[in-house]
Amino acid sequence: LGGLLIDGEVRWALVIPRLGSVIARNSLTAPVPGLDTVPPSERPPVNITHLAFQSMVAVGTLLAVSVAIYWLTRWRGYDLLGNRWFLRFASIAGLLAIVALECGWIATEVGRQPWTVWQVLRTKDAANPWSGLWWSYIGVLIVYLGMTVGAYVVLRSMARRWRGGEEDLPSPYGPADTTVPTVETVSSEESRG
Amino acid sequence: MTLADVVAAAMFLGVIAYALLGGADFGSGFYDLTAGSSRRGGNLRTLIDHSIGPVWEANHVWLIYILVIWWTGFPAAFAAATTTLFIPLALALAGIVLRGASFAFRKYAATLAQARLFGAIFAGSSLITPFFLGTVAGAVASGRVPADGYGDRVRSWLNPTSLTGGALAVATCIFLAGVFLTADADRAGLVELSEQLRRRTLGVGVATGAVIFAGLYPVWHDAPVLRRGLVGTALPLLVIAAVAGTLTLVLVYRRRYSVARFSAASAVGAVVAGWGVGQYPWLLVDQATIQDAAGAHATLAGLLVVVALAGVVVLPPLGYLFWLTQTASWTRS
Repeated sequence: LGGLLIDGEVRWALVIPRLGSVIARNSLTAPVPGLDTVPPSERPPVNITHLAFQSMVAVGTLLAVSVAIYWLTRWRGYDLLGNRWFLRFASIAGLLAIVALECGWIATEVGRQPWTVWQVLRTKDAANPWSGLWWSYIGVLIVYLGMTVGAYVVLRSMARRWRGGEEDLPSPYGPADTTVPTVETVSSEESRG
Repeated sequence: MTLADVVAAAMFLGVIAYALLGGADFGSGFYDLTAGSSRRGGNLRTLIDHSIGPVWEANHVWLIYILVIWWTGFPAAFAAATTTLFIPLALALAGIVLRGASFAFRKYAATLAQARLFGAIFAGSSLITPFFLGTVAGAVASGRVPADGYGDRVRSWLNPTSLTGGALAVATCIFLAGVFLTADADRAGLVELSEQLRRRTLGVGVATGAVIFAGLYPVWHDAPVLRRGLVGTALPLLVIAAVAGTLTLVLVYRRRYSVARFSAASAVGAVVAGWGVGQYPWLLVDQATIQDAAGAHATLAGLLVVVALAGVVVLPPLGYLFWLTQTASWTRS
């Protein structure tokens, strides 16, 4: 558990005997095929994959345990919703869930390198050989950064207006003082008449 | 008619459906873009929002359908097209992504300035996407996608036939959207708006017809295979397109909007079908026929099963959605 691969050696890891065999092979003694069975040229970036996977599991466990603790204390007659530190934790739990999700993607996508399709197609053979690929990568980055900013701005403003007591959040297609009727008002007048 | 032909026909039905349903959706961007200042255009923009809101991204199921059938049924031709045409394909994709996001952002924008920015992105990308998809069609139709892929990255889609394809795609989208929006405004009882849209749709209709028939000239010189098809097997379809297009203009002029929707769809459908029939039996003109490009027999048979299942599962709810949005019940809710 934990640890880093440095110069081909695992350091600072917590060694738990037999548990890996139980999880992966349903046995106390069966060996789990390790990285040493994979030729060095076919190994993924080990530490990124390893840390991403362990972070995902750690965050997932933390979130599950916090829910269990909440219900346990509630069952024992203490409401954690009155606890500032628990609420602080709850407010970052959403962010942690995203972190876990992204870590999971990093673990699978980095972990399957150098293959795009395992033992069939290598990533370097699957990629378009054109050197301008960097430009499309930069373009995608810019588009998605822009959309992230847009989503953030709009979602924050919606939350602010909801907190302010607004319910409908009308779309600002024209100046606020517009006197021309909108589709909704006209059609509702019609159905009344 | 072989199994590969049947699968290719099923794929091409998706192309026609996307051109019609996605087209009406994309074209509304033009009216949004040209609606005028925020005060004058507010009403029209609200109408557009109301009309395409419920179908928002639903029409892209057709694009996914086309790509998946192409990819699995004709994988080598798919690889050839994507490695050659990835610039226009990536730009079309960027348009789809930006369009969907900014349409939603505008609806909930806090200020007019934000709504303007998102609205401009929505409207602009609505036109960029069909243009680049049209250039892809032009590249395929004029034999510029080599069977082994990695064709000319720029000239494959910057050429007379591709530019014609792009212009044609944009024009038909605008034409369809005009007819549908006019019908929507009319159904909602917005007389002023429907009159304004009627005038613009008539203008757009004439321009679209001109683009289609002027587009025959570059195609004539640049895409000989398509030319032979268009004056041969596809000729009846071109005649249908011309008749239905003219009929649409007459119907819009006489304010028979709800019937005009069907003739407009027939006209555009006939144009797209004309392209498909015109280049048959080629999948990539001059490079790979449908037979050459077909993948494994088992895959093709499996695809047909999937198409049938999708038809049963997806078409009824989609039909219900269109029925809701295109009849009075949605307008009055």
